[in-house]
Amino acid sequence: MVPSKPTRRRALLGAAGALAALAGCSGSDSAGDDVTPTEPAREPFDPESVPPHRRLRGTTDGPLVWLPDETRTETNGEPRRRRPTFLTSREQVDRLRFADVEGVETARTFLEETAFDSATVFLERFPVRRCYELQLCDVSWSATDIDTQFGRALRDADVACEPDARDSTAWLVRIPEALDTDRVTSYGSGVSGSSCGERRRPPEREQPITADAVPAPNSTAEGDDA
Amino acid sequence: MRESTGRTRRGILAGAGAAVTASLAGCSGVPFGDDEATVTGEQLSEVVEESPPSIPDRVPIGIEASSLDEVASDLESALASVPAPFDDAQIPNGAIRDQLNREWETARETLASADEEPTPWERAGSLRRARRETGYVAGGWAAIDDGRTIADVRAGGEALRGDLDEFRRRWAYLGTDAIEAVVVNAAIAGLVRSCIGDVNRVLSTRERESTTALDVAEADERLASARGELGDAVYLFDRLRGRDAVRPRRDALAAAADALVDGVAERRATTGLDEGVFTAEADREATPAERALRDLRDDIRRGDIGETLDAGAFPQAIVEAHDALATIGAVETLRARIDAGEAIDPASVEDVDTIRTRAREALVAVHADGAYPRLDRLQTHRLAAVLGYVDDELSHVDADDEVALSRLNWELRDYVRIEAVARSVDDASAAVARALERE
Repeated sequence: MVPSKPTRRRALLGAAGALAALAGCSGSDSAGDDVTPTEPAREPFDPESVPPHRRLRGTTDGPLVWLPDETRTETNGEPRRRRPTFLTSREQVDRLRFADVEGVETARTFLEETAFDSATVFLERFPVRRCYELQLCDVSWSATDIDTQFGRALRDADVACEPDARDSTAWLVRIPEALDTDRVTSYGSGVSGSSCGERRRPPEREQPITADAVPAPNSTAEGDDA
Repeated sequence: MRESTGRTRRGILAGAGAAVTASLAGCSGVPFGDDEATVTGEQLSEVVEESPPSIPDRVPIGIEASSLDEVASDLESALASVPAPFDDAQIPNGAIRDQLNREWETARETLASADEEPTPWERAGSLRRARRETGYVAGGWAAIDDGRTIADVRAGGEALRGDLDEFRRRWAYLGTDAIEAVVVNAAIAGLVRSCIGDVNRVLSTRERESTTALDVAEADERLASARGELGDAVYLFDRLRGRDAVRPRRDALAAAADALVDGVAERRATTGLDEGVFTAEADREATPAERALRDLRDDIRRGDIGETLDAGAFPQAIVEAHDALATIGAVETLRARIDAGEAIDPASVEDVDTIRTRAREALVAVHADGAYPRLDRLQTHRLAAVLGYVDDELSHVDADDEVALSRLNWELRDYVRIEAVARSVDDASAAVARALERE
């Protein structure tokens, strides 16, 4: 599967489908068009620009949440990993299975509160080193593509963890649109080594000291040749 | 030896891509054509057997050992005050723990090896590095143990900005003679410039939601670095002003810098260096001399000494002019050699040996016989370091490995460049000295 860039990005400010005043969202508002996104401006990270989502985290190697769908299992009956999953109906949610990990109750509530006539839940899984947190920095999608971008941040110094240990995470992301998921055939995802705030931080322009490496202009007492 | 007209090195880079500068070790697996000349690692070891001359960096002013001992002692105390190596009870997060332990170990090593540096000035540089690394560890631990924050580090940066301003008001281009004024004040300026950059980084750091002890450590690393740079700048200046017969040299330096910038512009024009396009990509068939010539030409065209002069940075402008004059001289040398068909197109290990020997001997000669050692060293210590680096690359090839000569393109280019610049250093120093003496 070749990840491709979504052809348009939807704003998440207010109503679903509202067009973006977000950086990089130049283009028309007609659905399904092929507007090429401009290079996103490096605006500070705005958590409000990311769709509502919930995260599960566990020390298990196995999946944390999955749909027991026979068309999506390996021959040994284990759920397929890494295959992006969409939840589009209450019936699917009822069949959803969870591992016994942190965040399950919150995730269930999140799903119960989702109106599937106007929203789709995208399920994504990622491993993460135990001493780090993953952060969902950006989600973009079109009728045929979806792309998620994650950031990575160190957990606090008092979180006990061995540097090489890994956890599994699962992400439930509420896309504010009832997608025809059969048409979504291209998936992209990336993890940056930096936190969302660092990824989107504007270049440092502030230069508190602008002086050149020369004596100060008024240091003339000894500066003129005798 | 074959001259540049008789090229036979064709199609030999198959599978290797462009010339490779990365470590040559392990190159033997790369295929080369049957007709291609090769050398073995053993032969290369013989080529580099005679060590490069030792030309450590120094400033021509007495740096007291006792002063450096005191800095080292302070850093030892600072490192000892941190309860490292940390265990999982002190720092449960293993990624943070490992990082701080690594940096603590590095700081200890840097501090220990600083004593072995060949000159006080190089020792001072190692101690600045140790101070920076110590700052990282101490800052990270203080964030964990004592709640130190980015705001605390910024407050330290604000105080240092005040100290820097005060020094810049006190600083003047002094010297017992003009050359001393150039060399020592250029060194001071380098420290001040680094200090400004580090303080700017500290003062621009912002607390984020995801800020951890390592972010505080990084900010403290910058702050410690800035403190070391300013401390050494202050020290050098105080040593300078305490010398007998020292006097202000600002006007002399300004006039010399002005004349030298004009002189460089004239030389650039007469050698036609301002014409033509920049080199986009090296020609795979070019000889080492042709490659060196192109690089030198591009380097000289990128420089803008006028800007340095306009900023009033006279010692730096003079140092840059010295570099430019040595580079232009090297361009002329290489051009003449290529035009005369005397550029070596390496076809054997003997050619490699000749190219490397010429580089070493040119450097030894200018270091031993140069009329202006304080100015010469501005270039020669760097050339010696590059020579050592390239030698090191070649010596890493396993004795039994066979390497195509074409894979040594970049290394041979560097040798040719070292030789050509070294041969021009004396003239460049003389030109700078003349400009300084005119005042």
